[in-house]
Amino acid sequence: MDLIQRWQGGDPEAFEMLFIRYKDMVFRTSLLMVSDEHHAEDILQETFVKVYKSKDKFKGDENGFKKWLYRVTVNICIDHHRGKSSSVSSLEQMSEEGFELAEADSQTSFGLEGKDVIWQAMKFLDDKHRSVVLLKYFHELSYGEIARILDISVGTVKSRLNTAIKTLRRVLVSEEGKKVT
Amino acid sequence: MDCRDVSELLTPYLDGELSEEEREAVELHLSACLPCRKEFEALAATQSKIRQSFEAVASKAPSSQAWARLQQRLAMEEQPRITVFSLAISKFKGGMNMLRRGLVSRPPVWKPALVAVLVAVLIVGLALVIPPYLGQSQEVLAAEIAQNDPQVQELLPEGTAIRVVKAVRPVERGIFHVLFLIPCESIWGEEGENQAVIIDTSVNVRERKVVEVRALKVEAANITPLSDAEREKAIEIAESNPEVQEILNSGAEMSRVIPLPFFQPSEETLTIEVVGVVLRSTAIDGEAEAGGWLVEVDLVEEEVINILEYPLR
Repeated sequence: MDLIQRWQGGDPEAFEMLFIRYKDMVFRTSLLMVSDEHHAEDILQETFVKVYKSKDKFKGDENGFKKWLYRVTVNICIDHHRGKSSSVSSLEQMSEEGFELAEADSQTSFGLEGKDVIWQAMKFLDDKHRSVVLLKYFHELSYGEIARILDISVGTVKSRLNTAIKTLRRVLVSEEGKKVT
Repeated sequence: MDCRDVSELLTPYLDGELSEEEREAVELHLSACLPCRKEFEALAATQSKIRQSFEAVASKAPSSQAWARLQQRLAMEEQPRITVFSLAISKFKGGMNMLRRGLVSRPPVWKPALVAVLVAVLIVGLALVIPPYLGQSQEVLAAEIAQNDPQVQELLPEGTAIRVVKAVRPVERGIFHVLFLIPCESIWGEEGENQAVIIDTSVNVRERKVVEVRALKVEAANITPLSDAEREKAIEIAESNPEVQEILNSGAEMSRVIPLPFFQPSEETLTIEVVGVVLRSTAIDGEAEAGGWLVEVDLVEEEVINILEYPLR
């Protein structure tokens, strides 16, 4: 009997094992989405409360569980962003207004962003672009897997990544230009 | 395939997501087009930087308390929503001699007026020493833990409606005080008319256990509401005190004026017409510490008798 069957069969240890196995994945995904360790901790809690409550609803094996867990995590992160005023500009807004890193909100408790221009640049991505970037370049998932997790087409994954990478590149170029001058 | 088409395919090309045919077309174009090759190199460098930056996250892990927190949260989710003021308990199995002595097995005689006074006194007292309140769900959980504790159950007279006055967070993090109020009248009959026993149960919600049980015998006192003139006078006296002025100048504000029914007159201050003026300051981004003060004001002698500082957290 696999872990998912044990969990759904009511084995309390199985739920703890699922938590131990996937807590880092959920936490890191959240951290990349919200850039704040305290919020990522809260999202970890929210995610596993949702998992706990969905014991009888989830259908699938552990591989399916992992993908579903990505989706739950990303959705909770998006809800988290919606719930508070976000400093993230939309890409559409940015293309109209141009980039100005100094305008980005640099307040985070992450500790990396001040030093690394990529973290500054990531702030310019909205949730839907940020999520495909982290699923691709942190979790190294295929376009097909990302499409299934986010419930979008492979074409949409392709176009969002394209836009996101080009955006990040333009921000990097803009920053390097500033350093030279 | 022109430069615009190729530009759309460069990211999926780098990610290995193109069909064989598309990949060959992109490679053919890149071999002949310098601007596209430059763009390709820039995108590859960007992807590489993203991956490098993400490496720092690969070593991040949630707090070691995450599982304990989740268990606590799930326990709260599963708690039935009980009304704090409607808990009814339980079996009398023995208990403190103080409570047992003279216990009469009969339906409790609650004097609503006495209870109201005691509850008011308790709330005023607690508001002075242990703000702030937490969310209802933690309070309810604390009340549930306290009322299910065997030691606490032993202390509670049979058939008596025990009231949880308030579960609050004191200075200690994660500890709640659940107070069971038992009018002495229900134990000793008329002899205990103006007295009550409070079972003060300290509950560690995180560990889901009772950590301390104390019995407090209290005297009831009537509280006469303060008139507007008395409040204004109390504020005026407090404001004219240099030490109070200093506290106010540091950012604190007067929050309210309260009666002090249990004020004990000393040899110097024989009067008992003393009220309290409560001052509070809130921490603002570390610029100022949160604080609370109780200024004891003698309305007859028109002076500040004492200034007590109490902890807010």
